[in-house]
Amino acid sequence: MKENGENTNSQKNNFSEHEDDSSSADEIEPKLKYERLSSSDLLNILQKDAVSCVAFHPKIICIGTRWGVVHLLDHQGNTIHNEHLKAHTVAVNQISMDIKGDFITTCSDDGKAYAYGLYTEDHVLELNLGRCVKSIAIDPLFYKLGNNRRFVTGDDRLELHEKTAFLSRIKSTVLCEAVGRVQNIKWYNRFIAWVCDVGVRVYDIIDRASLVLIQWNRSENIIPENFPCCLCWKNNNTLLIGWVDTVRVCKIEKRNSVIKELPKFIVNPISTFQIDYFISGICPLDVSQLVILAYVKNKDENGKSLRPQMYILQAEENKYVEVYTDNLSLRGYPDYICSDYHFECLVDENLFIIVSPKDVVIASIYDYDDRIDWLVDHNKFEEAMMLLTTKNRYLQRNNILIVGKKYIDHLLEEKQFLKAGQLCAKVLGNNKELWQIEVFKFARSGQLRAVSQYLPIDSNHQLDPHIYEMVLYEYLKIEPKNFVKIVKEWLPNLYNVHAVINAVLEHVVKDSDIQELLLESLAILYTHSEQYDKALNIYLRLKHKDVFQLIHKYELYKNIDSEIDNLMELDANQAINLFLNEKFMSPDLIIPRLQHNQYYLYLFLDALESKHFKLVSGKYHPQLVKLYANFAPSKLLPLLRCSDSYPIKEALTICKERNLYSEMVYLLGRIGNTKEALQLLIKNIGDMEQAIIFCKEHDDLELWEELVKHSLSKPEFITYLLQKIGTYVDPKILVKRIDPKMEIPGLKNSLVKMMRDYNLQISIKEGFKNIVISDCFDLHKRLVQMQQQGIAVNDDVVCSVCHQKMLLKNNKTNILIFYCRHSFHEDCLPSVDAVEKCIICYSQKGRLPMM
Amino acid sequence: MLALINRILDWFKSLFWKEEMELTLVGLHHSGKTTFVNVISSGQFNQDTIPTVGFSMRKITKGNVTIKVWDIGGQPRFRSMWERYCRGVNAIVYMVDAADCDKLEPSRNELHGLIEKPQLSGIPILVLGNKADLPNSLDEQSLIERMNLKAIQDREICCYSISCKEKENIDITLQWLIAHSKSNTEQR
Repeated sequence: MKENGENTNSQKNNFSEHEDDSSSADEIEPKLKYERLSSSDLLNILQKDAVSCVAFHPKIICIGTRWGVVHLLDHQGNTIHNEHLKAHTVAVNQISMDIKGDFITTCSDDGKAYAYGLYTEDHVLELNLGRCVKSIAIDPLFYKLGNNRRFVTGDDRLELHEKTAFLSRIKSTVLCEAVGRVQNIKWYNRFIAWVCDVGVRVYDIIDRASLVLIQWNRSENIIPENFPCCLCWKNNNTLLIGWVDTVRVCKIEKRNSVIKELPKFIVNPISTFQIDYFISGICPLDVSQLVILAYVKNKDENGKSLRPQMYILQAEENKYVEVYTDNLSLRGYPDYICSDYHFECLVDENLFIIVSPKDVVIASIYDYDDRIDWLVDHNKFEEAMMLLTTKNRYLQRNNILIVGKKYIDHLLEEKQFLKAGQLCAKVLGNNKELWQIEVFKFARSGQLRAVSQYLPIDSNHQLDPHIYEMVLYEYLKIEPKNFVKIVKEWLPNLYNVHAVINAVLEHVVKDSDIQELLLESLAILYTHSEQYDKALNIYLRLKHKDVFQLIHKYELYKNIDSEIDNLMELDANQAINLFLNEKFMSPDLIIPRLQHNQYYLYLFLDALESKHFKLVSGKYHPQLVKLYANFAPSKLLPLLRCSDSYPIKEALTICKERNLYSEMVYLLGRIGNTKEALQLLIKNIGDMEQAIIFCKEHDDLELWEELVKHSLSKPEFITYLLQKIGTYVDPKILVKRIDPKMEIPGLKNSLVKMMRDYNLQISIKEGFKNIVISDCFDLHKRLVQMQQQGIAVNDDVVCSVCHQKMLLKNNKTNILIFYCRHSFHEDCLPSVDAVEKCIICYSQKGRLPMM
Repeated sequence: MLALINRILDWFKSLFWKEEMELTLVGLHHSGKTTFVNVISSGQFNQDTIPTVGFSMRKITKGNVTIKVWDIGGQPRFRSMWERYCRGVNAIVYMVDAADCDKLEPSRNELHGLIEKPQLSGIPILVLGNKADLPNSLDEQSLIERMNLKAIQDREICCYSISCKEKENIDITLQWLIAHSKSNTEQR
């Protein structure tokens, strides 16, 4: 698409120039983007004609030309054919459309003003005013039925034209007389803002009242009417005015006090300030900003105009802050004056149209997509990523993948490989193909290591095995230390284990410095490939503790019987755990191998004892006694106590050698040598309490006497004995023997205690006696009662000898019944002697039954 | 009784007030959008419609309903404007050439791309499979499937198979459109 203007390539980049384009490093992010309308339709129009005015509607752009033609364009600049359009004979001065874009009014210096529908033949209002109609505005609600079919024109007066109900007659009313000419009118809701030579006025169409005149400064060199006065309604009650070089923001508010003569509304200027250029157009942006199309006051060296500029200002009370500036290269700018430019906007969409006689440009705010594009173009990826994450829902073109890929490329170029690797994880997610592409980029730079830890390794999102192998080879070559780490981390199903093993083997041969590391990884790899024996050998050679895990996991118990010793050396605890495993070989095979190292033997047998006590049932106790005595004396006594399967004499010798008195006491007690035991207790251990307990256990008077004898020389022992002995033996044996001269600490108390204990013993015994006697009487009484009961002899009773019924009709023998309920025929009994005792009870028990 | 009064009132209303609706006609080029407008406005089928550049707008009166139609060009360079011209309308009519299988996929993508725009949320969509008179043209069911219309859940959506040439199903299409005119939409 060719263009006639100065900028033949209408690319966005070189269309607008930012003011400080000094260095790209601290370039300011643009706020506005521009799109020149360059459809062939529009170019055709501009070739023959020039734009004199524009109306901007969300769906339609309507331009008027110097030759008086009105064109409808879509937002791309394509002409929309419409048979209703009416042309003027000279330049169109102003075009105005209602808010639906259904109706349009135009005016021109040919003295005519039109209002008509774009879709309908009805409601055509055509006026020939006979004056140069400089400005025109349609009722924004013209499309509605009723009395909205009206528009205002401006020449030397402001005049309202309404369509009346009858005969489509037009009724014209002069609203205001103007000083000079009315150069601009903007109608919004009930307010009509218009401009004449002295200033800006606002007219309330409902109350039919002029609200205000905002006068403009004039000086000798600046005559306001020679400049375009730019009006823009920001909303219901805010009017922006830019005229010459002064900006005013006015607010329309309801008057507080209602006075009949005065209008209901009042216009308050809220901000007024001067700027350094002439204003060609003014529009609002967002809440408090203004966009100004500026015509530069200065000329170039040839007296030609400079490029127009776009300013974004932050308006404050009577001052402003410049936010942003662009230079615009509109076609033909050197020859234009301030009023040649037109600038309109769609407030809701932040969309602007900039029109010069030979150029139409749409400007819009940089949206988040544009901002990201710009940031990416300027290598500000961090900011772009930030925007991506925070503003994701506003984005249409960009997403984290598109930008992320560019960022990765950028980082790779900058050699920030680690960061790039990190980014991969964030950006690529689990997309297999993308990963593959990006990983190859790392491979080309030999920086696979940077990305290795971020590669997806879970089974659902595995990449091609080659990729993992590539990473492994690189580690193997460059960082063997981390090679091991990776091999440990990655599951073997990610890569071809055999291939990697071969590669490692090569390196093992080559490189002896890092052999251990490589061997370790080799062991892991062998494990992966189920060559456990090889793995086991390497581990053992390396003395690596992972060997236990390996053995456990794959139950390699058979392979290691020759290595028991080494394993113990490696880690006794783990080794024993392993040996104790049920599936492992029997202890009988292990013990001989540990024989030369008594400590290991001790550890093993101890563990065996505590874990499988029942299984081995004292088989190794003889050995254990000695081992305990050597390595863990505290465990010896419990073993001695609970076990029967050790030779006591040997144990005693062992204990004697090591002066293990408590154990000796126990053993001595066990073989009946209680005296020696007691002596040991008292002399070597000096523990009276133990001694008393010992005496109590064996409960031997001789022993007690021994104890007493030993205690006599020590007063504190006597005290103790006095206190304790009373309940076990007759304290007389002690008291008699005490040396009268001896001083015994706490004697009185001990004696009292002893007496009390004794007394208690006596009273308990008395109690027992009483109980036994009364029991005896009770039981005797019961016996007698039982024996006094009668004994029935009926049909069921049989003779205990002949087993025939006792009562036989024919038999007249005597009957004998004992207290034990056995009954006999007298004839059946062997002899007369037998009558004295029941033969059954007597023969059974050898004595009389209880009853 | 109340219903009867309402119906009488409606009838009176329709005598005095015209209903108005605005709809946008989009779809890939050469699917028959402009032809469709011609058919519903004048009943004329014209084989040689020139491709629409930009858009054309028409007002069509059917009974007491005035339909304002934005007929947007379907060539790729115009598609960025679709969203703009679909904003705020009562219904979007999406025209599909049911006899051109190659274009179904781009057509589907464009449709789904269009309705994703936040400004167009909730606007009812009528998908028309045009050129039903041609052999090999898809019927409504297969069109719904191929265009993945079941995935569109956030708005009212309807699909008819029509033929502008044979004037097939034009009447039910119009009925659907009229049912979505402004006053009817407001009542809902």
